[in-house]
Amino acid sequence: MNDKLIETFLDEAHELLDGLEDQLLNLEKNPTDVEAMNAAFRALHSIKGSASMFGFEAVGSFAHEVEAALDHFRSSSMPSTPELADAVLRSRDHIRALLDAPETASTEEQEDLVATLAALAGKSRLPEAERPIITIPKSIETFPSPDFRTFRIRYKPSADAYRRGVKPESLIRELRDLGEASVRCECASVPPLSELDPEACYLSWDVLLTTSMPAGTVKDIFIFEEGTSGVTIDEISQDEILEGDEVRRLGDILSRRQLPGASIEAALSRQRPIGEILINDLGTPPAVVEDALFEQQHARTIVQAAREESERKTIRIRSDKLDGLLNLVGELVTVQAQLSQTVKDSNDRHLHGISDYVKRLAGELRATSMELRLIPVDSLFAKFKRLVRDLSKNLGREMELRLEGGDTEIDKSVIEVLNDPLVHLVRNAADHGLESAADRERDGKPRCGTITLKAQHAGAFVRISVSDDGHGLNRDKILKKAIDRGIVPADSRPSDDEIDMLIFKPGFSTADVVSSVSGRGVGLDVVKTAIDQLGGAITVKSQLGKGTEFSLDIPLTLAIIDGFLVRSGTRMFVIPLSSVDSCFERVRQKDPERLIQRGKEFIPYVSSRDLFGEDETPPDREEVVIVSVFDSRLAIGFDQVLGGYQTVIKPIGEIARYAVGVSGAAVLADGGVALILDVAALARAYKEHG
Amino acid sequence: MPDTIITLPQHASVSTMAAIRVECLAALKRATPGSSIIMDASQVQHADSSLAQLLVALRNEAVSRGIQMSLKGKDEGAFLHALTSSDAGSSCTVTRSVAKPGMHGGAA
Repeated sequence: MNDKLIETFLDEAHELLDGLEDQLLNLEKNPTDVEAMNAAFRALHSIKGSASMFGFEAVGSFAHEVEAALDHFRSSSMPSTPELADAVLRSRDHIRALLDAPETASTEEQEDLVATLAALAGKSRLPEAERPIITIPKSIETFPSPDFRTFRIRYKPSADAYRRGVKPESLIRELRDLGEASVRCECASVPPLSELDPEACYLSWDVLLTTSMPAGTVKDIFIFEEGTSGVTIDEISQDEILEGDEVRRLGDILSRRQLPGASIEAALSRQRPIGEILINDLGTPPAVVEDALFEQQHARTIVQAAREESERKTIRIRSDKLDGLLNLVGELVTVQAQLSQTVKDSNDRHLHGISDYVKRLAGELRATSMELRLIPVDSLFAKFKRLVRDLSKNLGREMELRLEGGDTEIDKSVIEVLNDPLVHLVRNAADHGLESAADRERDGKPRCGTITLKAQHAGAFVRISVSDDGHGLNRDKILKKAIDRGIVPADSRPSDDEIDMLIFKPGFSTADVVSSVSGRGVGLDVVKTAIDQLGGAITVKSQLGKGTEFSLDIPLTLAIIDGFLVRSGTRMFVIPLSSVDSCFERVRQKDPERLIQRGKEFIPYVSSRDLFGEDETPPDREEVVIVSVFDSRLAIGFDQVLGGYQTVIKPIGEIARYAVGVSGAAVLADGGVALILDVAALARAYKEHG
Repeated sequence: MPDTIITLPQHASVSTMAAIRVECLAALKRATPGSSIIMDASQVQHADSSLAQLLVALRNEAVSRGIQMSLKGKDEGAFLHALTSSDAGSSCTVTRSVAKPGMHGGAA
């Protein structure tokens, strides 16, 4: 078997397993969620089918057992049970183990699961009377997208339409051009031939149109028919014909047509097509059923069209190939900078033109390459649903996870690095932040605690926050612990913010009991170090009795930045452009002040020569760059500002850990090296040490 | 029993429909139960929905008299769909209207 095919299968299987987990967690919350049940079943079915095809027989046969249990519930229209969701979640983990490392997958676990699933499939059928009624969830996702709307257009040309020169079929064709249309022509009014006026129009049209166009555009097509022919244009809710991205069953569509529920239930109980029974046996007007069928057919058409469109637009690329592409783009950016530098002194206008063109192309290529690497943070957040669910079970505490800003996009390399710090913070929130249900109730809070994961853009940074509505940080306890451990002097009187930041000190933990969830000696200092290494910052805000929020400010990308090239003595530095507020030139002060005034604001000042050292005699003038990161601003004096500079970030590894204020290096056009300043770290260092 | 063949013109639109109707009525008058009326559409290059309704009327009347009717040179269903700009697959399978695929409401 082709290795690439197997790799593709494994990638897809993992995606399906992630989707399955998501649906099972939805089912746990809402056991009557039909769409979640169907989606979970489809995921398992796909895994089963492709696993067998690619030689993963063990996965295929095990998935078959799981599928059978799910199908039993699904086909019997029974809601999920906690036992079913739990067993299928465990099965999902087992399938993952079978895929990733079959030799380590536990056979005992598999046997136990097979037995559990068989029991669920065989014994869970409820007597008819006890079966809860499954309700369709109200919050059905619009499809194909919120920008698309579906209109029902009924057009009955006047009898003299042909004589007026109207071509009704041409108007219908114009409608078709607006989007995905289903059209049926009604000819019930056509009289016998002997009575037919050949120049009179007896036909009418019924059109379902899904389009991104506004109602006005649809209406405009019939502008010359207004007042003479019958035209009705109604927008119909996508919910009426679609359930998520699936076509509704005829019974569902009919149930929204004010038919007696008893009629539909009676029809469903007979083994014949529902429409046929409703018309022939129950006297439902054929037009009602025809309308529903027409809508169902239209829904199928747009679902199919959307799927085909999606397949046309999406290709799967290995992430290391994207990394390779970005490296090449990085080299190109460097070479382009060298070219620009070389051409600068030339009088050849043609050469200048080529250089400018290369610069523009390199810029566009860089932007496109960066976009390719952007992934919605949802892909990271989704994993935490399971984590919180498991933590809730392990800790015996009621808690729920709320996700916000999942569509915020970040470079994939950032997402990869963020996983561990976030796991740590969420575990901490569950274990140390949230109280027990009884304690919460006593304090007048809902029994169920909430952990919120939120992402939002802030310039060239993304802010990810982990918050809980628990008891908040106990500052007295933190300070006492810090004093006991010698982290701060016994007589110190730190501010609230300073006390909060103590929790990031190495080895600091206020947990009284070391649990399996957190507090295993690995403290928040590990999280802080990881975030620092990303060039980001972590802060904490807490309110006693209300909760705690950790904010992680992370650069959007770790690969290429738009920088501001500056010189200090013989050394070159690059400041991320997104951090630069302004700059100005002034006479160098012999005894520089610690604060400079800009307008009404006083900003801390530091000379680059003091920060990084320099033996060479300084020039008489200096250029001050004011940088800003989140709430902090800092003025840094340099010898010279050389201007904007796009650069590839080259990691400098372990050294960076000990070089405060430096996050990487960049190769300059002349082959020299510039250090990339970590402005956030500089601002923090200045704040802490002055 | 001889079949009656009606040859449709290249342009079968409203302006020519009266003449076609007269031919069709004459054919119906001559036809006896069990005989056939064949509409030869092989030369049609342009037609519109007025022809569609005439074909429906003719078929309804022919069926009610036990006369067979067929279309030559074109697939009848596809032709009617094209004339009315309707969908080939838009027929409702459980309704009583069985005039022809996609055309609803005609007599059975």
